[in-house]
Amino acid sequence: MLETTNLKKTFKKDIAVNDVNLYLDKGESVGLLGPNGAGKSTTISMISSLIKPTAGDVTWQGKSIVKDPSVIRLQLGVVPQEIALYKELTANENLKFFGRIYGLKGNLLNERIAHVLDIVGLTERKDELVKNYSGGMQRRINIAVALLHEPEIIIMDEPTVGIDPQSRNYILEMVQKLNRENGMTVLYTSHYMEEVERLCDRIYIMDHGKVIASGTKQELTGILSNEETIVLELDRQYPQLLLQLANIENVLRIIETEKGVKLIAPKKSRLLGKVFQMAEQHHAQIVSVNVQVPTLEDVFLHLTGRKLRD
Amino acid sequence: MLSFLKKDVLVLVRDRTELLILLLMPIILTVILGFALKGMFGGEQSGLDIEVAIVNQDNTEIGLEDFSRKVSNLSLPEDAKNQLIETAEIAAPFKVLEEFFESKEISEAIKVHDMKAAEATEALEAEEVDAVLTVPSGFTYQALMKMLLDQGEGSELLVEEGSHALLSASIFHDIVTSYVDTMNIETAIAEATENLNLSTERASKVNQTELGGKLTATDEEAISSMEYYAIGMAVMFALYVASTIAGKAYVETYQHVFDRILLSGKHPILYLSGKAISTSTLVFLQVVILFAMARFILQAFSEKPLSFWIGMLVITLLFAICIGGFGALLTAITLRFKSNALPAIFSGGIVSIFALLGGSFVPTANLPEVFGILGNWTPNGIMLSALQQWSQGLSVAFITPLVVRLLIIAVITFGMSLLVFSKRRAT
Repeated sequence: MLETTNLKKTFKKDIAVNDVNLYLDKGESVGLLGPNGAGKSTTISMISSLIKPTAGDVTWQGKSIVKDPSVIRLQLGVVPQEIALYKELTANENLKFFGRIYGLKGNLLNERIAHVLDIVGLTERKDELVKNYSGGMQRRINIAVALLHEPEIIIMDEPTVGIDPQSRNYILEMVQKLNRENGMTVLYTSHYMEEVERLCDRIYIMDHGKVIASGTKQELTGILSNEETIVLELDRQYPQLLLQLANIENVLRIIETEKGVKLIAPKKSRLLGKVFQMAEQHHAQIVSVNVQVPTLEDVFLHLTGRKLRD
Repeated sequence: MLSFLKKDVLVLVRDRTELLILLLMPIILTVILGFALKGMFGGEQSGLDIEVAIVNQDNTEIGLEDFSRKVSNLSLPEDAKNQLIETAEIAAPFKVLEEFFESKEISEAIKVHDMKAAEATEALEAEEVDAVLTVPSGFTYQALMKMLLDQGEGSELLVEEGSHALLSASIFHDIVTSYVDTMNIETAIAEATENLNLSTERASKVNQTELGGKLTATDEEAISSMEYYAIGMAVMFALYVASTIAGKAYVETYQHVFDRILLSGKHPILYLSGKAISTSTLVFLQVVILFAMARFILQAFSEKPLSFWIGMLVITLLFAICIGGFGALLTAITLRFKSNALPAIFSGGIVSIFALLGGSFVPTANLPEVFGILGNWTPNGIMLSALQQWSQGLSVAFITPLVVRLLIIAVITFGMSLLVFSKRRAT
């Protein structure tokens, strides 16, 4: 349905996106996961025909959108990271303006507006100025505008940045519903691993402008199938203990967390005894111990040596 | 297109600070400047007190006798000769000017003193008089020969302006120039009506060359300071609409609303045209509201007929179209360079320069000539001149070249905006 081939974008000497190949099938929900600056936004700007690639191509149902952007524009709903709305206008006025420029009018426009307001749960507050909305409500109207013309595919660029957990959950449920119940194809970018894990059938992990891994969640975590993660929560930080833990045989990687440490080691290494022993030597109070199966965060760490939110 | 217009109007109307600047500030400034600079305008003559020395080196009687003698020797019918001599006695140029100075309205504003040349120079240097009018020897004879027989080179009245009283001296100069122009046109009209063989082409030539488009003597009352500044401030603040629209376009870009518009499949030129139309509409509404406020709050343009207001609306519409071009150009540059620096520079500096050149603060007649020349190419300067002339009762023929200039500027600025806009980031 949608495919990128060796997509590349350079800004002067900086390579923002380098040889990105990805595809989306109809009805799929695909995640683009990566830290800030990984090239996710540039990639989706090229996919949505807003910027021209330096090299490579983007095709929609076999037709190049680089050569002719119009082949995708009306089939596409884009939710930018920014609140791309007129904040001095009400939600209803915004929806009317954007609906009209998409060629909707009269009863059809009113019906669509009512429908999308219902989806984002803002029917009751449609006549308030957008600038008076909370961050979460502004993000919901931002999504509503992208849904107004009933696109086949929706591209969402970090749609939950900077909002409260309740609004975030609302948006995630909404995206899930659009994909699973309405069959809408979704390309969802985020640096929140848990969002992508929850919403997406397949995931592309990006770093420094490149796709460094891709597949289903199971396929990606399978990269670390022979490993396990031990999360140790302590009463405070013990720098010397960390150094000693890092020297334990079989510890592949050690990450300092807010209240303790994370150890990645081969499965069945039986490290716990040694860990407890060292903690006692350093008079460290262990608050909790958790042995986890690998997460996408661990996969990213394994692949790049950095955390997603570094 | 209507959607863009409605949206732009709503966005501006909801921005109360901007709205106050665009509508309230011009009225406040009109009141302040209108009262502060009242004395500069002909509408309020009470403040005018010009002292003038007249050095008459001519002798009207001898001039008339010489002229009669000359006419008697011409091979014309007796009736024609008598008519010419009678006309000369009535229209003897300096005699008419003296009567003009002695009239009630003028004598209140201009006090004339007959002096010898040396005496007048001394009085001017001592700042006892504001200007010296010298009537050269043979003035009556030479002027009549040129005016009535179209013979010789004519003659000139010399006005020496005192540097200590530039404004008064300049007003006096204007009055004398206006008098000379009036004399010339009356003669030309008389010639045209009496000599039926004179072609239309020739009549038109006489008017153009002699008048030079500067005739200000009409039956209408001179424009008052309040009326002048109502126009001056309206045309100045209209320029701010262009920068406001461009500034809002910048917000649309960095908030990615512009991207959203592009994604709708609308051609980008439609967006730019929308900006031009929004600017024009807002300028038109703004100027109309300001004139209405000036009329009903400041009592300016009172007792003007409906035809005057219709003319004002037409000129305002053409001016609004011209500013629409500026709005599009500023928007295009803003989007091309993704910076709101230009709208800021325009509103922070260029508008003030345009306002000064165009005469929004002080009439350009009171400024060095170069201001007037440059101001004639600023949209606000053109609009101010056009409305000033219209309110003084001048005909459409006088105003047409000005409004054509507005339309030319509109076409140039919109054309430039298309060029700049097409070079913005490729989509």
